[in-house]
Amino acid sequence: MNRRMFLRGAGGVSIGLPFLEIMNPRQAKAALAPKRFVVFNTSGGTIPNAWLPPSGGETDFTLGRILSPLQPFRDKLVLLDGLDNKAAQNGPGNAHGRGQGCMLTGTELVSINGNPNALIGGGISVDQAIANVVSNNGGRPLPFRSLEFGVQDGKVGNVAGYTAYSAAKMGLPPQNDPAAMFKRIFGDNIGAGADKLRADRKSVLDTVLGNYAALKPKLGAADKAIMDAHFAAVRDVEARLTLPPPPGASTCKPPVLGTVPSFMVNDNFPAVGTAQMDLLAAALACDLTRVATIQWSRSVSPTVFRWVGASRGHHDLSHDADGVASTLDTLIKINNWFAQQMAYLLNKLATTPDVGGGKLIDNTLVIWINELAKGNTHSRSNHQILLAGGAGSAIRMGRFLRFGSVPHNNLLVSVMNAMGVPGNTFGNPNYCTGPLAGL
Amino acid sequence: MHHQRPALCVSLLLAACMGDIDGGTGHGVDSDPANPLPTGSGFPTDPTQPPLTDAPRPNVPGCTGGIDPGPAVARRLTRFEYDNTIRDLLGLNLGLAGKAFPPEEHPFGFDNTAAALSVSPLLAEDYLIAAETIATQALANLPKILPCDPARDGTAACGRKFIQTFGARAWRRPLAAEDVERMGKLLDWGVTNGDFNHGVQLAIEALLQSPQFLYRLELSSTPVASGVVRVDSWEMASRLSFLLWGSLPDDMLFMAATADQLVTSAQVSAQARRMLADPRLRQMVAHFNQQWLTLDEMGDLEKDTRIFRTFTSTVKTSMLGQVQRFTDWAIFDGDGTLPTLYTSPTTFLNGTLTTFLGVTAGPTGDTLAKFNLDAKQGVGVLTQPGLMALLAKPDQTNPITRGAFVRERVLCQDIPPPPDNLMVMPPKLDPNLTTRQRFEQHRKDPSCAGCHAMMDPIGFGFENYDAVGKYRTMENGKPIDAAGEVLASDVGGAFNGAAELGGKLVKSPMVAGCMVKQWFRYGYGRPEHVDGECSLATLQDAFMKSSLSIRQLILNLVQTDAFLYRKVGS
Repeated sequence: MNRRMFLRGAGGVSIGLPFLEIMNPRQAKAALAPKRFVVFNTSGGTIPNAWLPPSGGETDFTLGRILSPLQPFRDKLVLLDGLDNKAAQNGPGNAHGRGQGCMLTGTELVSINGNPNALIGGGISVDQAIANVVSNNGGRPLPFRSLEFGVQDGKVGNVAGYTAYSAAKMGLPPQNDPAAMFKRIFGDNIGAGADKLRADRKSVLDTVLGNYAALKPKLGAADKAIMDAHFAAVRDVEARLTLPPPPGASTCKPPVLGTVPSFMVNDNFPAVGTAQMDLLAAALACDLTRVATIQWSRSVSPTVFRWVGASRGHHDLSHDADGVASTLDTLIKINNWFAQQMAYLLNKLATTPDVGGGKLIDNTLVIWINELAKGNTHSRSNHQILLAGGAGSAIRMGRFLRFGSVPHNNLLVSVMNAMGVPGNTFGNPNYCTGPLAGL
Repeated sequence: MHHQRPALCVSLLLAACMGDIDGGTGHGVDSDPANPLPTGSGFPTDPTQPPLTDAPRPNVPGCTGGIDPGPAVARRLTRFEYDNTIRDLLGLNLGLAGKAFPPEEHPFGFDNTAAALSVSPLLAEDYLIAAETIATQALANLPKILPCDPARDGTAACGRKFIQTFGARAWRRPLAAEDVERMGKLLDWGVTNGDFNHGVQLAIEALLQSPQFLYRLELSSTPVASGVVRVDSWEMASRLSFLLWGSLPDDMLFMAATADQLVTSAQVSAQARRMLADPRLRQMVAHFNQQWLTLDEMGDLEKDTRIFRTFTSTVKTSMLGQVQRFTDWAIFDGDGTLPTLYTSPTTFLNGTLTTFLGVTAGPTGDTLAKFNLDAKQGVGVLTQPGLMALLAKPDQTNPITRGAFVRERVLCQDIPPPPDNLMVMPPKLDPNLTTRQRFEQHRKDPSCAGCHAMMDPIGFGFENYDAVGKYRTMENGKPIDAAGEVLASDVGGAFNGAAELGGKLVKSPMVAGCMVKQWFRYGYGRPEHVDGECSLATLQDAFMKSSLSIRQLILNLVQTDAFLYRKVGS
């Protein structure tokens, strides 16, 4: 039997919803519309003067040159100014690595194999901490704990190329290929032959897990640690194949993947980004996952933004001093272009129906985060960070908040809390004083 | 007081910079600069030369104790190895891993550091998709891998026979009876829910996703000393094939393993010598060089086309090929020695590069051809125009990057990251100044001088090669000053230009020792400083005695404690 047919037949959601909503609309919405968390990661720092509102205060702010494309969503934004990433100011590593590897983990980098120059994230990232809780979905696990999208992440795996960490040293590489991502997300869920494919895969993976179980007692401790993590991931895939379909799968429209251009070619960066954002929104709409990251290029980005007039790579440009007017203008254009992409994503979420009514954006929190505050100083203090979406009403939006030397980890706590995950600290507790006061 | 401060800063930073370097691993060759290099021109891969460990244990520092193999972690196949293995297992040259799998981490410069090869959920799913694609394609040529006829022998019996024969190659050792039975049940299920071919397809998919395929498992337990076991013949077959070919064992190795004839160092050495003739060895060495020289970064190489108008993608592709061809030539077609690698005037040019670089009477065809430059201009791998272009900025040279490259890749020294929150800005182009003059800032600013004294003076020695690798004697109307200096090493202080530097590098035990370290890291999938001091010292000693033959060094990798034995119980 086709899984989606089964879904529509069961129809528990559509029958139950109106009744609950009549009884207690607010509660019903909270119970039935799950919250989602999206990380939008760009690199190379921003241009603070062009990012910050040129005028206005907490609620009557206006958007500056970089964020101006987000004007239609002004009331669904929180602009945060002045957070200090203390973890990224301590511990080993260079500025880029520390910025990228600490921005969501809130803890210092650690070394691989004792090499003082080979460093990697030292703890779980906040998106994964959230995913660990929300993917369980009250005992009805979602098909994907989280999804990591990449737009031309580079050719070598290292701290500059990970946004998310499932644990210390366990960077989650993003998938750069939209076609492969499409196959992964929707391949065995939808369409003719999906049932048969799931059954075959389950038999194969059961056997693979049997092969591992037979081997495991013979392994030494170090080998067991590496392979346990590997085959736990295989077990997750195997479990997904027999999950009851998530409620969203009955109402969502899986996207039609058009022709995707060569996904690692510099000038296809915009097209690949669009395809990835379409897939990201669809995965949320179908409730296949509730946590996603999209990583644009990587820290130390070689991307040449020819489409905004750049002739040198982003990282190279970001090193120029403030006095180089032409570079400054190009960097503002690059960040403005990213704001346009953010607007595209928000618009997608704002026009996609959510499970149980409303739009996807109402229950989603997007964070736009950058490994550095300013590119040419490589600073990890005085960050500008953008929150966007409805966040399931957990955060009051439409505000511009200024802080002075407040620990960045406090924001991670607040984000976690907003997504329904309790806790008073995140990352290294030495760099955290609780939730972000005033958010 | 006041005027002393900068000087103090410089010396402290210089100390910090130098203190971070080399991690105190020095012993043997690189800690003894007084030890003169042996001379001689004997061709080093002489097959009559006895294997290292058949001779009495060499009297080298670090080798005083018993057998010392260092730690061994199960090594997951890298993307390179996965693709090669599928090619040699099934005759399918698909390159799926290279195209689709996430890149490996390179904590020590190479993709195969076992402890860093964890598996993300994404990779686990990539394995699933790849196995399905491979199995589907394998079915198209099923008779080639099927040892029986299901119609004649019965599907269950033939299926099990297939699992035994194909499985033993995929898993690189015979399957245990319980594994055959588990796999057989899957195949039966596939037959029931489809047909025989479908059963075979599912069995292939499971074999290729199992740890026995994806990892090089070593479970032997024959002790030769306390906490030390000898790897068994099956494990040795894989150690040899993955080291020398980046792929699974061939029939000869499997036959030797079946006969348990990969036990003694002489047996291992004899197989290795046989394997040298296979073209897969060159592919492995090319893969090593690609990483050692960071050539993957050539793909992202961009030049400011307002300044370098003729720098096209064809030039870039040709330059990558040039460096690859040179290293291949130096190691395999030349005498294969480190001096040739670092000093040969040879390069490879096609018509595009000849024109672009303005080489007089250079090759004009479409394919890269060998060409000898003037010895002042062509100085081994470091001055290959492709590499010089890679180690430069889009609009100007970068003495820092070039110096750092020599420190890290040629001398195996680590440069600490720049100080925090530093305004790191390359000097602006100035038509009245040379690059050297513009970069002088680093040497004046005390917060920079300490570490940059380690890099910039080496980089200045390459100023004859502009930002696209073209040889020049003038810059902005001023003659190039290529005077340089290599501090904190045994390379020997001041030099003038790349040719003099090359001459010094090949006399440096540190440089020779670094080449050995690089091969140690690649060959054993781990850093040299964790353990295995004796193996490193043995290799370094033998490298010096072989007139710095890189080919002999590769062969010697299979004769160390690290290769022949495995540590257990740690």
